[in-house]
Amino acid sequence: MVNEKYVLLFAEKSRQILEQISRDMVGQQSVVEEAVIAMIAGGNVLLEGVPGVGKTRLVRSMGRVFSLPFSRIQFTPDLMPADVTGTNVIEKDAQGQNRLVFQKGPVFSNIILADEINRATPKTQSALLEAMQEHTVTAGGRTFTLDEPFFVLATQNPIEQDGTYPLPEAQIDRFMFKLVIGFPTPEELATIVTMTQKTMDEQAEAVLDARQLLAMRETAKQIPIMDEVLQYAMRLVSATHPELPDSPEFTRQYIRFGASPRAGQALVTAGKVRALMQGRYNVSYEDINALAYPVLRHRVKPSFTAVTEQLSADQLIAGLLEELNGKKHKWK
Amino acid sequence: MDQPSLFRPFWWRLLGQALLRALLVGVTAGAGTVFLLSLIFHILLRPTDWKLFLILSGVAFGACFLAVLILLFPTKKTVAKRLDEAGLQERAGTMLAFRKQSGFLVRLQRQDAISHIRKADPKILGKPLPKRLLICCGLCLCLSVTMLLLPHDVFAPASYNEETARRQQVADLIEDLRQKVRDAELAEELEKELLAMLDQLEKELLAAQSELDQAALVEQAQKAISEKIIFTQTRHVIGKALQEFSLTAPLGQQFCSDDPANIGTHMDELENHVTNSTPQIARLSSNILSSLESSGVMRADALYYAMEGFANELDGLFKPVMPADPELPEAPPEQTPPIDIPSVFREAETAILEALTEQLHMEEDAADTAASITAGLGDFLKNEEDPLLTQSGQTSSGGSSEGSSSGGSGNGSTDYLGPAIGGLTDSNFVATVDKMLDPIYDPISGSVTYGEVFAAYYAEYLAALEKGDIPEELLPYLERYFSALS
Repeated sequence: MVNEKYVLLFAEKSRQILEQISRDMVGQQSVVEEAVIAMIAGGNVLLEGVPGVGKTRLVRSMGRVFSLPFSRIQFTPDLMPADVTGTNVIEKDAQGQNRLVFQKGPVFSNIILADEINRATPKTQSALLEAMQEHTVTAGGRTFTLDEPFFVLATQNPIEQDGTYPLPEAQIDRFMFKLVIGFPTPEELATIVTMTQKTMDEQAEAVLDARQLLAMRETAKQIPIMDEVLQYAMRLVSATHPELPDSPEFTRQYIRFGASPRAGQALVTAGKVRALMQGRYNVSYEDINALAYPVLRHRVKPSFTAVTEQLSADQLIAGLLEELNGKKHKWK
Repeated sequence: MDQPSLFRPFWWRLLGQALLRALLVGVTAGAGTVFLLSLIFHILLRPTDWKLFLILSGVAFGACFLAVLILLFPTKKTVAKRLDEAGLQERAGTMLAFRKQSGFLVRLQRQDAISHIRKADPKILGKPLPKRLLICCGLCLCLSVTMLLLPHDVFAPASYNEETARRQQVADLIEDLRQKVRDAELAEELEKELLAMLDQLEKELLAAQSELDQAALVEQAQKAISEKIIFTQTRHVIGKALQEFSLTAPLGQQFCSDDPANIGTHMDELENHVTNSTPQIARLSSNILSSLESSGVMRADALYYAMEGFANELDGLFKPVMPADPELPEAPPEQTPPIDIPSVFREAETAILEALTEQLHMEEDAADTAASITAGLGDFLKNEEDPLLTQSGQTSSGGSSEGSSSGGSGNGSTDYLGPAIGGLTDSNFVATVDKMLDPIYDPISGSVTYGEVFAAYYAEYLAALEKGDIPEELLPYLERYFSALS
């Protein structure tokens, strides 16, 4: 039962989390905030950015802040599913008998850093599917439940495409957010350089444990959301589908495939967390609009027209939001 | 927390905005209507019809004002929505949506919303007048005023001749009036006089130099025509009254001079005549008075009282000489005062004629007549259903709805009179009374026996009673009469 203590805990801990992460991350405040939102909401995050912008550092820093077991999996083309989930190995027991024992893989942790996830083969990438959605791992005919909370924070490089395997739609859809880390500003860059002259290690300290994180998640779930806002979020998701009869002309022109129902769930769940983090006790249209980008940018597939016009996913989402709010989007 | 009081300042603000917007939209619609009408009139080369413009623009204004006010009338929900849009981030809306729930976070949300709403200034709801609407309203007003100020022939082709158009307009107007006079099927003499007046009016209108002169001429003609009609009707009633008196007075004289033993021979005839003709005269007089009053000719009701007094006096006069009335105590013959019927008739006749003459020739009433007939005949000149001229008389305000005109029957003057005096005559009643009076109008023949006459009268009376054609005020007379005779 959520009470005042939970609310105070949420406010205090969310402030501390951001404060601690900011010790390791310079700038990128919106990315950090959205990553924290996803963590509290229980969603997986796909981080995309050119090398060296701090993707891995952010994930490591978050692992420290949350004081949770942390595993890093470096995805390579020769990585096998068993390397992720674990495998049965022959082990001698006390009586000297050989028996098969399941050796847990790195997925058995609370926070998984799947570094350069698109370098692994689809087969290996798919090894994470069950873990990401059901929080279970099935190996050798046995199903193992993962400890809660469980997150996958994956990174990928958008430039280098040789020898990479784009994530399948089913896999991509299991990421609540896709966060794009941009290049820092010159001032931020200077601060980064100065900061790393002293030490390369992360400075963030643990501020909450698994139990507290789950309590925060439970608190956020109780945040009220009025019907109009809920309907707005659902309309936004529906508007990404060009095949629907009442889809906007904009969608039919620029979008090939729309977002799945998971996008709607993500918008509302994350919207509640965002509202509470901002000291509000209700979800607003602004929450939905702000979260539309991280939630939809990896779920919306641009059409050939959009590709030829070099429209990014974020531009498409901006267009959708404007369509939904009664403004006509003009590209040219 | 009392949500209505929390929202009240914002509600008043929104109501003010709604009223102002409704007003602006209404003015815009009204001005737009005037502009469009004016444009159409200019294109059709018609002079501005201010009355029509005023009515239509008023209707447009009222309709748009009400529609916008209803559409924008603030409710609790709309106030919450506007507050949220103004920066409260759905706090107010969520508070309203979850007002019946009492979870911890819901209560927390409510407190948060209330504190934010209390801090909010009603001005955050925006300016009361949107610029676009204001500009649109100003533009419409400017356009309509400009269009009204333009000469009416500004869109006329080069071949347009104003004088020719004016002559045509006058000719059309006069021809229309002539046709109305002909259609009214007035008495021949009156129709000729009216047509002559219209001819004169046409000449004067064509000779008029300005629109002001034309208006004065039309007003003058209206007054003259209305007086002509009213006087003709009044003369008709006077003639009718004189006719009745000319029959009644000799009978009365004969009645008084005869031997008391012969009273019975004249009494029935006299009594029937007086009993029927008295209410008829009263009725006709009442109708013409109503017509005069409704047209403003007559303010004082001296004539009405004269007629009423006359009718009552006649009634009282003949009561003692009625046949045996079971309900009335029979007065001893020696106590009956001597009756000077001829003098009573003469006095009443004189009183009526004097009152009529006085009313019709009073100088101050003439002024009222002109004013009222200007309005009445303004309609006459434009409205085909003018009650003063239409023959049908079907728009009677006093007659029964099922009553039809008696036009075309033998008594032309009565038929003309009923509808002509403004449809106020109960034509059914007049027709019935005329029918009842038919045998009495032929006193020389005397070939109709009293029994037949009475049977016919009684049948007519019952039929009229069943149809409801008999006015309330005359029922006691007739009931008393027939009960006494039967």
